[in-house]
Amino acid sequence: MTSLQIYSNKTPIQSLITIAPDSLALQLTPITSRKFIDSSKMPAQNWTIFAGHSELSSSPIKFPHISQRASDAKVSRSNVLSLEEQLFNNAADLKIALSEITMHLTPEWRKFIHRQIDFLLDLDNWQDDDSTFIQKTTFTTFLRFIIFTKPTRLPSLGVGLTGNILAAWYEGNQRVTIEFFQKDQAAATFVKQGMHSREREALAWRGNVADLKSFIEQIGMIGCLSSI
Amino acid sequence: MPPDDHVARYCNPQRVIRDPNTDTIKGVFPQAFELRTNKKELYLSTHWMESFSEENDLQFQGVVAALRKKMEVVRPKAAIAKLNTGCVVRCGAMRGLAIEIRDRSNSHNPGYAGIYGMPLDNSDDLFLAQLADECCIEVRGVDEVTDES
Repeated sequence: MTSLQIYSNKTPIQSLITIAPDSLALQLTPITSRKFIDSSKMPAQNWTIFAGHSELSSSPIKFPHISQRASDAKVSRSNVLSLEEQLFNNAADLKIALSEITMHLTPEWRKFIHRQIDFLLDLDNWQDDDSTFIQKTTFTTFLRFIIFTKPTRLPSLGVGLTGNILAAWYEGNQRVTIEFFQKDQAAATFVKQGMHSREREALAWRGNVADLKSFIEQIGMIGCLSSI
Repeated sequence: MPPDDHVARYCNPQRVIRDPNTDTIKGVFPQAFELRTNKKELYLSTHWMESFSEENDLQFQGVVAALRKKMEVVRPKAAIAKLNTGCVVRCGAMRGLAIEIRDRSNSHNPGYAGIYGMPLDNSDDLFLAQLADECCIEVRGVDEVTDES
């Protein structure tokens, strides 16, 4: 014979549910020796349910605390986040990282980066097979480059296949594209018109972002990033 | 594939370069031509534009129609990059790559073509940059390709 007792504030209420294994019958037995308590007025979080063999002293099964607030009740759901929630969280993480260095950026830059993040992580633009979340560590490298180089022209931002943030600057027939990696590393490609021919010239560079500005200056393409 | 012909590459909205002020398409990032290493891709997926029509607008329309057949979703903010096949092969040769563009079309995927011989680990930054710049004749947004039939 197994019994289930329902208590409120450690006071047994209304009944015992008795399960007889042989007959599989359920019986509700009022606890006549105790005063009846109207359970409908009890806050749910104070309830404790004892389950066990009626002859044995049983341990209470503690249920997790449930808040009565409606707003908290809505949080009770599956731990699996929807794509929309993941995109929101990714964007929020990046915007928090941006807010930490916000004093180094003009309002125009802050607004621009916010807008670009929202575009790149927009559910309506998401392609399940090859869209990627933005890695915060690479975004931080991008921010370091922006603070150090201080470009005056706004770039176009993108995301690589592995979640690295991308930036591109165009000026006339010149183009600079940079892929930012974690730990201040970057890969850049430069395309410009050849000095003595009609052919386009392409250059590739890899290294620490701290060295990238001087390299861009050396090859005469800093005008792509900043109006002189 | 004849060297004067063209192939079209569908570029994810995350890899399209847009003017930061006007939002107009300026090009595509070199990363739009990277192979997906997690899927162990051996070739770059493209569509042979001349297989749809001789006329430029109809070629873009044919590519978008073929993509809609093949893919679950074709995003309006994505772009189609038109590449010259001869330029792709020539730039590859300059980088020591034996590039081949092969027709892989079938009834389910008309015009489908693959660019073979690219580094499988996407290690040649310069070649990818050449694909995005020198070989790229035109980039058109999917939402600019008006007739979707």
